[in-house]
Amino acid sequence: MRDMTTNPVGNKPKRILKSAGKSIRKDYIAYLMIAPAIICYLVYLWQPIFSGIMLSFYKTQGFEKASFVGMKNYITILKDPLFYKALGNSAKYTLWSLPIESIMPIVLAVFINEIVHGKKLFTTIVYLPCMIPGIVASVMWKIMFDPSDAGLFNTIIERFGGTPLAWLQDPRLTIMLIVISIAWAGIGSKTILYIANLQSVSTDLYEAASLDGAGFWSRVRHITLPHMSGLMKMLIVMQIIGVFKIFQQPLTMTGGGPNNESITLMIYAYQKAFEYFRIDESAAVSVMVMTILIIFTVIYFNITKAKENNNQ
Amino acid sequence: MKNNRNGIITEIDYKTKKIKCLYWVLFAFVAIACFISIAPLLWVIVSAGKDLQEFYSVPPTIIPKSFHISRFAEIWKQYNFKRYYINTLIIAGGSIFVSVFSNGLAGYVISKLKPKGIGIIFGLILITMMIPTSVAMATTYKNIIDFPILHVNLINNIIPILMMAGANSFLIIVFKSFFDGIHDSYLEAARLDGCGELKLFLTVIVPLSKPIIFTGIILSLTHAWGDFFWPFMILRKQELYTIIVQIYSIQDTMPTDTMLIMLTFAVLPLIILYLCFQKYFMQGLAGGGVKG
Repeated sequence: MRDMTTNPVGNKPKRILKSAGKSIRKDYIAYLMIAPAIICYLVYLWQPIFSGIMLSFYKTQGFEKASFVGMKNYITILKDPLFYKALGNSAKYTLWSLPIESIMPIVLAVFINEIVHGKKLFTTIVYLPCMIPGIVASVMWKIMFDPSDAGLFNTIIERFGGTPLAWLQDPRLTIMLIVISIAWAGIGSKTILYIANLQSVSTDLYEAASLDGAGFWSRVRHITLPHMSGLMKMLIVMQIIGVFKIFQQPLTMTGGGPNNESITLMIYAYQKAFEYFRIDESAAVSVMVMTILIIFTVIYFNITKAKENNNQ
Repeated sequence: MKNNRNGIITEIDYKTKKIKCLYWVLFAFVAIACFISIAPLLWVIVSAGKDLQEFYSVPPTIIPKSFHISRFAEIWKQYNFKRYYINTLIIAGGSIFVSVFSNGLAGYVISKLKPKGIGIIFGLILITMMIPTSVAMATTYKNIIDFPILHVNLINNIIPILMMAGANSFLIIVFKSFFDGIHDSYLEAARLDGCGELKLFLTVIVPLSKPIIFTGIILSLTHAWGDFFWPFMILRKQELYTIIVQIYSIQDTMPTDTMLIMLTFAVLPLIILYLCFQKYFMQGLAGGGVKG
């Protein structure tokens, strides 16, 4: 990038004209600077999202519109039992992931913040799993959950005299185990956010509470948790949004199986598009997921705003 | 002990026996959590080095007796892992450049230049942050096999992957919040001196932004290294696979002992990077509250 502006010093036009010209030129340069990002967004996010919404109302031939069919694709999807399976699974994923992935980071953050011995080491280790790429983590857990006798967890169970489990192949366990593997990789970053949040609690508050005779747990309840509540709300909404995005972990670990027990909405949309080549129906599923995500996003931003206003 | 408690337990509390007990209970809890965080990784790396006889012995050993570094070299050569490393590094390098350039400039424009209509653009960027790139997967795929306007097929080409890296809302916000922290009067002073916008950006802003650019590099690098779905959809020829795509593609066909070694290859560079530049990862995470 070169400096293409001419130096305005030395010119003596009217002041107002000059500043107007300056602001137009300033805008022009600003648009030029943001152009690369806008092109990237247009080609691989905004245009596909927009044309996906359009396509969902059409019958498609390959990737092209063939004829307008109105809500027909949506009706087909809403009649498909597999769609409800995927939707119901989202509820199951939420049910497991909310307690595991929302409460653990809070507990860990409060505890780590108390620790004096080796605090830095603990923070480093807690965040480490967040560095592991999703596919690697999924393959790793899949190997550990190996249902044969040679699997790590089955070996451990057998050593203590238990009977080996089918793990991911057991429809009752699949979703819970996938959630555990996701939580393993996700708890660290949330914990770090909570720890950062806790740094702004004034220690004077705790000392005052201690002088008033408040015990450890009552200090947690009346000082620490209320302090974190804004961040908690934000992260819980993020968590729910995350559940609707779950895709590559079940794809890697079970492929959505056994017998579609762990299928998610995203895997459902993926199969529609790339296994059955029903681009129109896949687009309809995508639009539905997007609608859900946008609703939660609006909630999220409202909470964020409320939090910022509180802080001021 | 120095007064370095900044938590709920105060120095005076710690002198009582009950609280001292509680402290060590908390400590044990955290220690167990850390063990769970790190144990699977350690298990992968340590078991990967077992010799085959031990690996497939019944019952398997949980804590291995043997460790052979030569097993890693064997698999590295046999499956030509150098190729996947090079592919990954090329994509990571390109992604870093495009991502920091495009998102960094966008963050600056949104934070400081604020041209007309920027509110709408920023709104769209924020909304897309919540929508994963795989949501509109069919239509995104269409733009890959038939690039708009130019009508070229970009399958087996890294350009779409780089362009996706160039549209990273999270990074834009990280950059924006950094630039928000630079006082406007700083820029006004330079403008009054007759400094053009581009010159101002290159000579004043860029030197100030070194720490945030470094955070951007680290975040883009880890993202590119672990990225799966679109590289998997785009890179169809095996000689173009990244490490992650390779691991996904062969996971069902490889014996476990080989798989563990490949997983080690995939994570080791990231772990080393993390241990060296931990500060930047944490700062990136907190949304860019980096102070120069």
